[in-house]
Amino acid sequence: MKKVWLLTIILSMMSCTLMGCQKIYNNKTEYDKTIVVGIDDFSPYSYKDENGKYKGIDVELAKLAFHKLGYDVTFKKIVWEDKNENLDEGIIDCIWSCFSMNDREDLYQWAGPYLHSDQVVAVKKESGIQTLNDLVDKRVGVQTSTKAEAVFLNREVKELLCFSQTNEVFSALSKNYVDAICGHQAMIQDYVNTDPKTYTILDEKPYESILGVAFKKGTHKKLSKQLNNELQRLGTTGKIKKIVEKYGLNYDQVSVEGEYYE
Amino acid sequence: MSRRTSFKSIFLSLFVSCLLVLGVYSVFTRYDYRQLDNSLDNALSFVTTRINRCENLNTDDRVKSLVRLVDKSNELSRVIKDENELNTQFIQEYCSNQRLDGVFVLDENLNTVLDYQEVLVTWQDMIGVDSISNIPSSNKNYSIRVEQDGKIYDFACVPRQDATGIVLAYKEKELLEAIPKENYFKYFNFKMNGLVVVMENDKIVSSNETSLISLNEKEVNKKYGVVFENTKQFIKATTINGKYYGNKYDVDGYTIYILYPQSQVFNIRTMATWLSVILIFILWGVISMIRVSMEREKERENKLELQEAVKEAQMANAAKTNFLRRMSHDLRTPINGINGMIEISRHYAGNEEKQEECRQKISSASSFLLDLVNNVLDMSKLESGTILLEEKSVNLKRLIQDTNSVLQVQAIEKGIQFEEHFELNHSHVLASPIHIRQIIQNIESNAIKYTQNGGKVEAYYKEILIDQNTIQFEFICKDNGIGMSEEFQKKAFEPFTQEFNDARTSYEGSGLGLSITNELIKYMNGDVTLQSELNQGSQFIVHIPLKIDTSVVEEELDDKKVKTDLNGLHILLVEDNEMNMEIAQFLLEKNGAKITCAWNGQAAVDTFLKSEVGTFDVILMDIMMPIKDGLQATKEIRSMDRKDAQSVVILAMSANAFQDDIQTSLKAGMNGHLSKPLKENDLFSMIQKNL
Repeated sequence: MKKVWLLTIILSMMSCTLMGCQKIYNNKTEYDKTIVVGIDDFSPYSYKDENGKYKGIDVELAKLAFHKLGYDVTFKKIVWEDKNENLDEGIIDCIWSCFSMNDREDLYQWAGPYLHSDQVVAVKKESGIQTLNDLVDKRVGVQTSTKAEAVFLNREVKELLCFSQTNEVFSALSKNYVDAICGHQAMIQDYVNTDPKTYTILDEKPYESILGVAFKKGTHKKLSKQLNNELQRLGTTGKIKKIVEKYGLNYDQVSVEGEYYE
Repeated sequence: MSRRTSFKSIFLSLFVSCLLVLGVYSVFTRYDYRQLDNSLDNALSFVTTRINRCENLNTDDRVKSLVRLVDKSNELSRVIKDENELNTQFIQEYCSNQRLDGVFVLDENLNTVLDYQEVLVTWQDMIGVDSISNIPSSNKNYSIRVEQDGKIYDFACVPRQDATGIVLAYKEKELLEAIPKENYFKYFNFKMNGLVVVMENDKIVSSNETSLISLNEKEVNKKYGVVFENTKQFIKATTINGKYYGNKYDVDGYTIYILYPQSQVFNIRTMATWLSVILIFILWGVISMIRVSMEREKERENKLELQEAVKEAQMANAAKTNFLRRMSHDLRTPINGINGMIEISRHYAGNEEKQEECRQKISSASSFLLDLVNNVLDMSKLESGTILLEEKSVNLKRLIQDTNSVLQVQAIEKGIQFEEHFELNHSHVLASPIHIRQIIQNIESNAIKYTQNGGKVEAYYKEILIDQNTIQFEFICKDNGIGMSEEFQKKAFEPFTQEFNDARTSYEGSGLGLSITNELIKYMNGDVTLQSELNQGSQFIVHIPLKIDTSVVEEELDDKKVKTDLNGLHILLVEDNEMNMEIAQFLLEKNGAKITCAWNGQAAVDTFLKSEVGTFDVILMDIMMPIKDGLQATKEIRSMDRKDAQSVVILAMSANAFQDDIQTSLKAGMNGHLSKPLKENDLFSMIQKNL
């Protein structure tokens, strides 16, 4: 009987210990403030995985940086074309989704740059296109309202077909409705990797852009500065490198370290 | 088995069985969960691949349509410029030819210059101004498919070639997609009756269960009573049709549920659990059958054992009765003889010859009685295993010679020739002299007894070396006497067996001698064989292994004679029996000793205490006495604080002469042990040895 009691006591103590551990494990850090980050579905910078969780380079950087600054982060998927309206109306506090700062410096309150993002051109290998000059008499496909569109609006091409969705751009190339497509390196690289025998990326890049976090112009001045400093710290401490490489990018190609900060 | 034990074992069996079943249930639950996980992974992979494939096909179809529309728009723009046909009629005709539902011609500020609308649209709301504001005077061609109010419209916006502006064309479409979403999984059968539900914007757009399509979450919950519950790894959905296990995924803007019915998920677990229950029942059955069989066998064995025990008890009882009957006869016979002789001697008082004859017969009868008692006691000790064999240094030849000295007299009296032949190499061995003597004596006396006048008894004593420490003592006794029948030879070593019944009417033995001899030999790890032929004689061959005493120096004098002169010795004789006192006193005084008598142990202690130091040379102490026994008296004498307390020789006198009796006497402080009736030689030899 004594042994039964002893066993019961020991088991109870173990259960309590386990429950205590569970409680500790469940304890999350509480933040005072929350920031809403507007993102588009743009792998590998920002996307949802199959379990519905937001993943990506920008998602992880946002969490790291804002948590350090004492903010909890909420991500909101937006229609890319409505990004400015969403910002103006306060639906989102900032745009952080592989967003280029180039030629938009005065349009937003920026934090960054934190990474490079080149615009690259993909063609079918059989097309024989090797340089940007070869596109002069060609049809080029891009997603509308992107940097790629802006780049080719100023370039001489036969036709610039602008689609509202990225997959329409890829479809246009695969069906030969266009001879080349242009977009962010990561996105284009992902597509080319699905069939590297058919597609290739031109060595010549039409545009190099720098990425930043865009707040509404004239707002969040202090926060944008703090965020900028934090992003630089993450860069110098190797955190950005770790995240970038985790998502399969070459850090040396996308890093702004040494160029925009030491 | 008692009721309590039975209840305990049933409870334990039930408990162990429950644990086993629970164990099986638990193990296979995990297994089923793992299988579910694998199934979900495979199903998700299939579903996402299928969705991607369908979406790609739809995208290709959409892009084809849009690009065609762009081409038509560019063509219209060129025609407007080249043909200068900026008029509604032309536009209308063009739309009709190209199957367009409308065209807007816009200026650089996106104001409508001209339009034709087969289908009325508000393009500004549908495609937004921002998307096309940079088209005028650029090379941008913009196309988009829009869904509004349940209708689908393809738009294409291209730069005007006749002026700065936009040509916007559109077409209303019948189908949004080449492969409608609702058909993605139509008629698909998933493994384990899996249910796949694809939701977009809170509405089911695709499923392999067609009745669910187009329902939103509320409608589904209402129709099927769905209640979701999150477990650690999966989600559990309880519906009116049963429980489902699965998971929820977010892929490319869709929410995908993959669920399996509980009966399918835990199919293996259910089977395994039932199987384990059945197996346990079978095991119980088998164990019960084995148990019943074992119990029956045990019962049968017990019964047999009981029968055996009853038989043994009956035999023992019969043997006891037989023994008592024999003993009754064997004891009464010599006692009657003694009483008879005493009466006769009284009758012939004065007739010295007759008196002597009576004394001899009384002596013979009393010797027989003593032998009988000793044999019975020996037999009893042998049977109970309480015989104590000595292991002391023995001069084997001398022991045999001493034994034979008496037997030779018997042989001479009967007119029998007795020969002894020695082939012994070692003078001393480690053995129990009393029992060696008993063996030799029993066998040789038998030989003499059953050999007639003029016959011969030969005794051979030989040693065979086994190893450097052990010999095999071989003793052969041959006679040419009456021999034994073959039938009798089979039971010669059994107790109370004598071939000729007339032995029971004279003092020729109790029939225990050979059986005692046989038991003793076996006790010593030896063996005895008998060869005999009726009227020809018998031969006994005895083998006994003995250890060589390597530590002893050869003795010088083998023939040292025992001194019988006790002159000058003062002996304290302690005995409670008058007759024994008289006999002992007579023996001692006859040989010159001075005797002081004490009638019990206390008297002995007092006498010794009162005497001067050195008064007594020897104390002969009986053991069994009233007031104080001999052992206690000896202890007290030895513990006295006087010079002669330790040095005085104290010899025990006892009817008991077994080894343990001797040991007890020696432990009490005595110097030696004599058995009654006292034999002169033994007495004098012991006294001489200790003085």
